[in-house]
Amino acid sequence: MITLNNYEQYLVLFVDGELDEATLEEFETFVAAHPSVAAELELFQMTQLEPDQTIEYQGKKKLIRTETTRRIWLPLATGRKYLVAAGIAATLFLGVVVSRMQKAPELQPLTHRPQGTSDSTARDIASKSDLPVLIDSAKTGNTTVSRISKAGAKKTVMPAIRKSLKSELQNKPQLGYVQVAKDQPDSANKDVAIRSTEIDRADQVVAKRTEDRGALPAITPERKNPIDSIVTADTALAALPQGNHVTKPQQERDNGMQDLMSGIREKILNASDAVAGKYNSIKKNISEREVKVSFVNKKFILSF
Amino acid sequence: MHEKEYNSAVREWSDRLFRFVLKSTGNMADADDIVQNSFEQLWIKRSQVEAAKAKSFLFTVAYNQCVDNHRVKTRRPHTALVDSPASGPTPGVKKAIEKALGNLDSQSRTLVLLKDYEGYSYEEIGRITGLSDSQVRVYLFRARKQLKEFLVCIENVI
Repeated sequence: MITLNNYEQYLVLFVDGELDEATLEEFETFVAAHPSVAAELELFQMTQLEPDQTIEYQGKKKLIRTETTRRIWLPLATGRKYLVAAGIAATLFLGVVVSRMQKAPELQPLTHRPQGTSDSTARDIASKSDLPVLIDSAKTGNTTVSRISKAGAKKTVMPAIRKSLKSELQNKPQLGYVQVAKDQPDSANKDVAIRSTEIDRADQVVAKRTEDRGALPAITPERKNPIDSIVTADTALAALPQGNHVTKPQQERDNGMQDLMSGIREKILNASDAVAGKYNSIKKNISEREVKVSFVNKKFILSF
Repeated sequence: MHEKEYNSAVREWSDRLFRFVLKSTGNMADADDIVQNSFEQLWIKRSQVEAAKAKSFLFTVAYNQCVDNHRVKTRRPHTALVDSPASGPTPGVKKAIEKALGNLDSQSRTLVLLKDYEGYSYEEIGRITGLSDSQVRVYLFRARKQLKEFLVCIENVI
């Protein structure tokens, strides 16, 4: 309720426009009933300020903003470096992909080292054979091509061998490359039977690859060892685990390797009288009783 | 609030903000700094401020800076009427009111300016200044009464 004791605050509220409808009516009634209050109301109304519209802020232009997108310009040289690096990486990646696509997995490696086979095992097998045979291998893609070469006997022996058997072996393959088809039956653990069809096929593949590659350094006159020619693909093939390369028991592998060595020796001895004779001479000329033999990726020792 | 809305706020509110700050601080340079800082804050926080609340944001920032400015220069007398570029010849009553405004304390002066210059309600003034409605009412009552008493003195009016 508005009284003479509190009317001033209502005057201020009225000036400031903060009175609600009901209070406003009561206030107007009170002011009408009290002229002195009305005069005082005029003074309060005079306290109201009016903004000076002539005052303007002069720095508006400074306040205007524009959203700008940051652009990072790399130096041209740096950009080129990145471009060149990206190009090289893309080229290498495409090269790898294309090369892998071109190499269809049609053939399986000739030799697949069974799990558990150790050098000591091979050495034991080799000790049961008296034939010095050195077998090298060259891996090309998914296919392993094995080359049977001379034994690791003293180098002084080899020229004599080559010379004596040169004439006889001219018509035979100079190197025996063997390539084993993927789906060959698993027979490595049974015997060392020579499968002529597969050998022929392997020889064809080898010949074709030899022609394609053309520059296999291994086919050189110095390395045309007669024994290499005799114990070529067939013996190596027979000795190797075939088919799906399931790991064989150790004894089966040992038997297979022993048969291999026997087959190699028999092959040489039965090749011709000249070869057999030279083999004996080789044996005599070998001063060392152990010959290190490298078979594919595996090394073992043959003892005489 | 995006760029266009911000620039629109500059064009719409910079003059009024400047008048309020100038009257509050009584110093042209301080008013310029406070206005610039207020809009700088608005630009920085534009993503958090709606366009409709830009004015309230600006006056809140400006009010706080006016308070800080007053604390720093608490001993300096208010010279708004002297520094004001519009401080030319004015009618007697208006000039007396301007003078009386300079004699108010900083808090009361600011509240009167917010009320009279911008027409804010007590509730809005409370949001800007952080005061309660009753505090705003008390401050404004005291300020109005002080201004009225200043006008009552004949020597102040003449």
